[in-house]
Amino acid sequence: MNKRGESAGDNILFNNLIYMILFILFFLGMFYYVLGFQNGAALLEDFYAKEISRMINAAELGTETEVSLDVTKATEIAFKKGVRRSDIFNFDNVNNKVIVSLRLNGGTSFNFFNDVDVVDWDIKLVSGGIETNRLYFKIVEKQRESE
Amino acid sequence: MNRSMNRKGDAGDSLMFFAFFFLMIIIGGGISLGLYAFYGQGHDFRQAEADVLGKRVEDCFMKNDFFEAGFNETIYKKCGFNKGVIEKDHLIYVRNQVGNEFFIGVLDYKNQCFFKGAEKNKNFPRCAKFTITKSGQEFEVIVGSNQNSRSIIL
Repeated sequence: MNKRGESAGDNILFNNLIYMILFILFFLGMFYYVLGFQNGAALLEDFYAKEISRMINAAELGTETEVSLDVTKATEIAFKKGVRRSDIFNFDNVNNKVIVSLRLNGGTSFNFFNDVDVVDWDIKLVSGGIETNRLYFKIVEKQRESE
Repeated sequence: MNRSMNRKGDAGDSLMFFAFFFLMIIIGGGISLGLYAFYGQGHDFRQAEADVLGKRVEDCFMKNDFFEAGFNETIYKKCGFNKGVIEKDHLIYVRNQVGNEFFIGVLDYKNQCFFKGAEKNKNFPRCAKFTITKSGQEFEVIVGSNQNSRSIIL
């Protein structure tokens, strides 16, 4: 039986299919990477994570300290991208980490060396200020599990 | 039989696989380079962090004896440092006038920070070096940081 083009046709289709799949995976990866830089989100995440970490590291031990930081620029970008208010800033007290996320499904983390816990964090409007958002959080002594 | 006999161009066809990956690397590298050129590298926080750590070490040093036995374990509680974070990417090093040393963290930062040309290499840590005077004695202190931020997927 003359099945001309059978093996050639199969090979062309199969090879191209593999290349197409690899290209799509590569494209999705690059797209996700580039999206992180949109509006400078990745850079701002990096900046705010380090700035918050600096504030935590500078806090005195043994006292409860309430800290506030102007995060208007960060929240503008995050809200534009659809990030929920409660997801923008997070503190991992187990691993001593601050996590800033100005984009969906991604973020930047930075450790702080001060052995404290960060609690009661929230983003609020500055009283009397329409366009200013501020992050408030409390730095307290490390809550250790009782032995 | 036709299938097994007609293998023209198979070798070249397989080699295109490498050309494809090379092309992807060129494209990916070009995009990354362009983003880096436009946005820059971000904020290098390590020197600032070393300075803050140095201040905390100085305050703690004035209240405690770093050279007492076992202080490399109790320092975390007495000075309020997190052990995991300090040991991973930081150094606290103190030396007295007779040459006794105390350190926690990555000791090699003591060298890496001060190599000739290290300040131009972003892979080397950043350190703060200063002297503390306590009870008439002088102590050399070096604190270092090589912590960078990490991207995470949520």
